[in-house]
Amino acid sequence: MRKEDRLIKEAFEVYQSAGVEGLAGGKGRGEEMEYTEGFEDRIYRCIERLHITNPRQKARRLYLGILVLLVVCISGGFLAWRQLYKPVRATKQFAALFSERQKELAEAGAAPGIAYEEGSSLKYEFVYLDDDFSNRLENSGISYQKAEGGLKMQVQEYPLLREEEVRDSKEWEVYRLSDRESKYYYVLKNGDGDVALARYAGVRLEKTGEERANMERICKEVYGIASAKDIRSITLERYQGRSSAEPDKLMAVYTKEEDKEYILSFFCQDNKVHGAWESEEGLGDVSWQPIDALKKKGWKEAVEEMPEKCYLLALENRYHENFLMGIVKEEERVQVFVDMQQQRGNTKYYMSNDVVMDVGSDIDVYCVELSKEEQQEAAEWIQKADKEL
Amino acid sequence: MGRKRKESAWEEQAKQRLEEIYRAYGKLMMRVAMDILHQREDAEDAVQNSIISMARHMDVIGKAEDYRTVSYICTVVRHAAIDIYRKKGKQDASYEEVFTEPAGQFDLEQVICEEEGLGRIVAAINKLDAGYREVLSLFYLNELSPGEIADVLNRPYNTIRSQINRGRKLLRQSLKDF
Repeated sequence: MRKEDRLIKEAFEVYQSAGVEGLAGGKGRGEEMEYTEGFEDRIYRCIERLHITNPRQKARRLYLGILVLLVVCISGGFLAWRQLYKPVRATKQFAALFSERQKELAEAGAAPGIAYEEGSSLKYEFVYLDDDFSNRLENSGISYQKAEGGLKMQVQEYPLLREEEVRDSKEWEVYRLSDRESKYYYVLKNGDGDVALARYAGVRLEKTGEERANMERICKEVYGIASAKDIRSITLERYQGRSSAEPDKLMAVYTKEEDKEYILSFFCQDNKVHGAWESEEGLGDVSWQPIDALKKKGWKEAVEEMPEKCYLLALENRYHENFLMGIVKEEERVQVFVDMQQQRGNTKYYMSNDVVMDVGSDIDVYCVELSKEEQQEAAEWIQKADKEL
Repeated sequence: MGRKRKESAWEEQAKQRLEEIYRAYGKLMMRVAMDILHQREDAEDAVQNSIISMARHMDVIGKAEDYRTVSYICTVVRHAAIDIYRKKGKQDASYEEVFTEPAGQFDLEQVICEEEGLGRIVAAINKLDAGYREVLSLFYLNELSPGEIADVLNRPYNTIRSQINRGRKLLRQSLKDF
């Protein structure tokens, strides 16, 4: 209670106690006040008939009501959040399961296999699951369903299994993770009851002309990103920290709609992607300029020779799957490489006959074709994000 | 089952307290009602109505001999009487017109206040209109919520809230004038 209110209360106490003294203590008209005959009985009967409810009971009911409402709200909110978060949780569980199995296989001398989605140019790496991992997948709560139209995966390369039996199944049935538009993760099953986990690894760039992949298509088809609304956030980070004393790589996180829209339209809309290492015959009418430049300095060379000029741009979709791009910025020239997933984690997990290889060597590295003006704009944008450049 | 028995015991106790209050202050209640209504039958109705009204807020009634209880009883009876007065064809009668404070009910000079500040507020309360004083008294002294005051005085909730606020302001204003 405020001081002012406390004073008023005290004053009222003084005032009323004096007033009541005058009222109750005075020998006034009340003494000779006579009731009508039977009035007192009427009052006592009235009191007897009264139904007096305990205000505490009312308060208790109110309290219980509020409690029930609160519980309903919280559980409703929790269920809504759980439903909303379900695909994200599935992504995290799937990713954890994939990398755990991959690590286990690598220690045993095996590496992920490579398969292509039937009828498309999407390329996946996959790991077999043993009984233990299969059970874990089934018990994890990750829900998946058979892909539409009986989609199949064609194995191009089986994983090298040093001591394990090599399986010969060529076709795998594709199961998509539920509640999502993206095709980043798949569960594969073959006729023998084997189960494998597959992760998107790039686009096959062997096809030419109209069928050539473009950024917009990769965004939409693989990551379910059709517009800025489908992006949770965009992160720009340095490939390596400035120094050991300053290892922080993060430069900017974009969550505003206009920022996301700008970056998405800049890098992903109407942009064709071109293979940096494919044969010249397959290039069609592509401008030679960027391809030549890329031949001189691909992503791998760039991160080895000038890591301070390399950046990673990650477009995270609603399911927490990252569309990763590698950016090399040399003065005004900017090159953008696509699908750099393997650069973020362990790049050297492919072991065979004591030779350490990089799974990236099997995955096509390709880049976005940017005009000179676009390169300049991208350079300015990175400059703005990293003020100390 | 246990809770039901508890509730009925509580109700029985509340009824006993009401009877006790009536036994102690029945005559005072009649006198307050008569001051306004000047007719015994009407005054008796007012007393009965005030008992019913008090039964709805038994939790704010303290010990029978407590001056706060007496003050509360007087307020409730007064309002029950005013309601009857208005129903008897004097709908337009203002509160001030109906309510005449019993003579000699309060004499400021009799109130000895050691603290000067408190004394000033008491004087300011004395200067307040009876309507505001009553609402503020129920609010501060009997610690009734605005909702409960609205129920006891049979006035809209918003009116009570604004009366509390306005009463506070008037108190502050008259404190400045002293």
